[in-house]
Amino acid sequence: MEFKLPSDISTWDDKCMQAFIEENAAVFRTFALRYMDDADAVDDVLQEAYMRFWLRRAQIGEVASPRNYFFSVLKNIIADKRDYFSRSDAERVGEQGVDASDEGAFVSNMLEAETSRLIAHAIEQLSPQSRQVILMTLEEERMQDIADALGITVNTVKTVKYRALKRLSQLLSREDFHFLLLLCHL
Amino acid sequence: MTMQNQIDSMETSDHLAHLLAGSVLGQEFSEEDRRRLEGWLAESEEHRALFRRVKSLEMVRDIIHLNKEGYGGKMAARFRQERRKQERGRLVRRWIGWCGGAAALVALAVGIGRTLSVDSVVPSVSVAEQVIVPGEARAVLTLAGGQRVDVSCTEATEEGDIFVDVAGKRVAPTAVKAADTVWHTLTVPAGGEFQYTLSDGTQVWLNSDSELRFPATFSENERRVALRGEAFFDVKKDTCRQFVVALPEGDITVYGTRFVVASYQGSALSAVLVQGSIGFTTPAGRQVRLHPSDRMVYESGSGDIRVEQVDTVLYTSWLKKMFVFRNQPLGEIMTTLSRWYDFDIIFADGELRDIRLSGRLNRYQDVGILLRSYEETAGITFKIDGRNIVISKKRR
Repeated sequence: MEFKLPSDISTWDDKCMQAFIEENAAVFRTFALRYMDDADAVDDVLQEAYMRFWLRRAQIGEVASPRNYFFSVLKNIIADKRDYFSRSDAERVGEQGVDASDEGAFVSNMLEAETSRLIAHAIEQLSPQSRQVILMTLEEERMQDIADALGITVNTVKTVKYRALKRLSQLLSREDFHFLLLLCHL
Repeated sequence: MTMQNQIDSMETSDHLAHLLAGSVLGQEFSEEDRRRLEGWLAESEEHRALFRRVKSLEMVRDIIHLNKEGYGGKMAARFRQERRKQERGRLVRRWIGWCGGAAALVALAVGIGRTLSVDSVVPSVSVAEQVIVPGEARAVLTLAGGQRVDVSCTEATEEGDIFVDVAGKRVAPTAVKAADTVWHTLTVPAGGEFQYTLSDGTQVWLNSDSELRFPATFSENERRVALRGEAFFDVKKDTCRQFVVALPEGDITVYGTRFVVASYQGSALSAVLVQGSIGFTTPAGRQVRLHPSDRMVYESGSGDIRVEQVDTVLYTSWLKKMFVFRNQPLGEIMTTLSRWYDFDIIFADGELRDIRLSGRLNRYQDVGILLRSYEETAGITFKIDGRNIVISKKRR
């Protein structure tokens, strides 16, 4: 993590907000898509959430995790919007999307989003070649298939894979370290 | 749950997230952490399902993909713009179309591989002057005897023993006598669209430039119609008689209910199943069975049949009076638009056919709205010349 965001959101300036959005927009979008099946409208909703978050920052003040707080803001905005729409639309969304008033689902979706973010973040820090090998490994592709797909030998796949896994482990531990640091400062 | 309680439970969930991520990536755990994770997994099927979803890397891949495209930077830049606008006191009104239902909206995204510079919005004038009028709900019904009835007028007309009630939603002519099958043809010109109910109660929505041939009453053994163009069928259940749509490329047999099929000359045959079950048979006897959300594409030239799972909204958005394009080649988008708005397309720069764009537009609105937005974000120029639209790269 390059830029350490202060936990007191009321002190955030434009630069903090920009960094916050840039770093987390992807996970926020994948989270929102759990509730909305209209991919085009999702970005509009996200922008609304960013704005609300920004405008209320003085009232919000200090939080353990700005990102987690934002998940709540986002979920509430989506839930509010739900109420505007006709029964039939809501029913249709209900098939694919999740009911935004469902607390259990919210916690689950947030957990899944956070977990995925950690995994994605770690993988992104690998070299492009390692990244590809790891993604395919995690998708349980056979070594031979990976080797064929990437045009390398099975031995190379093994080497890259083990080196990458070790590196991922280190990267995750570093995340843990940051997390623990945050807890200490509460 | 109060906000604070919510946040507290979020913190424990943060630690859990680390454990889950670590597990997926093969990290070694302390005894305590390992027991913690196993305990959580043992708690409920929901937990185990969540873990499985995470392991599938679905969200992970999406996040990585978005980041690769620079999505975070774009959203941050857009926020900066919005904030500046707000600070300058200007009201930013955003109309949000929700799940394909609500008001007309133009929402934009430029596809993979294109660099979008949010700050360089170039105003354009070339599209402003001429307006291409959207199509209307119009169709012509040609009866078996050859009489042509314009079914878009608002009066009811009676044709012998055939009664056609005209006002946007039609009831089928129900011929009483016919021993032989009496065939009618419903023709929708480019720029039109039409909804029709057949004698068995099956509803058909015909898109622009399409034609449906159907009997006044169906035979005892099967319900057979013939289609050229694109139509959405909501087939009434009849266990005694299967419903068959005959196309130049082959027959679609309907076992269930709702699907859309597009068979235009010059394009491959496309069938998308929304609900129920359909099967497609080529004249040579090859058969394919579709499941909900399957899209089948059949190239009669090569004989290739491809089946994939799709987002059915994309293929039925025309029913809801919205065009919805998601990351599709401009060539395809323009073909679809040209059928509805009834214009001809000329690509001055052929490579523009392949750039991928998204967008939504209420089909009863001026197509210029969508085109103008593409001009601004994708560096394209649209010049409307009578019934032609010429598409070229924007020269700076």
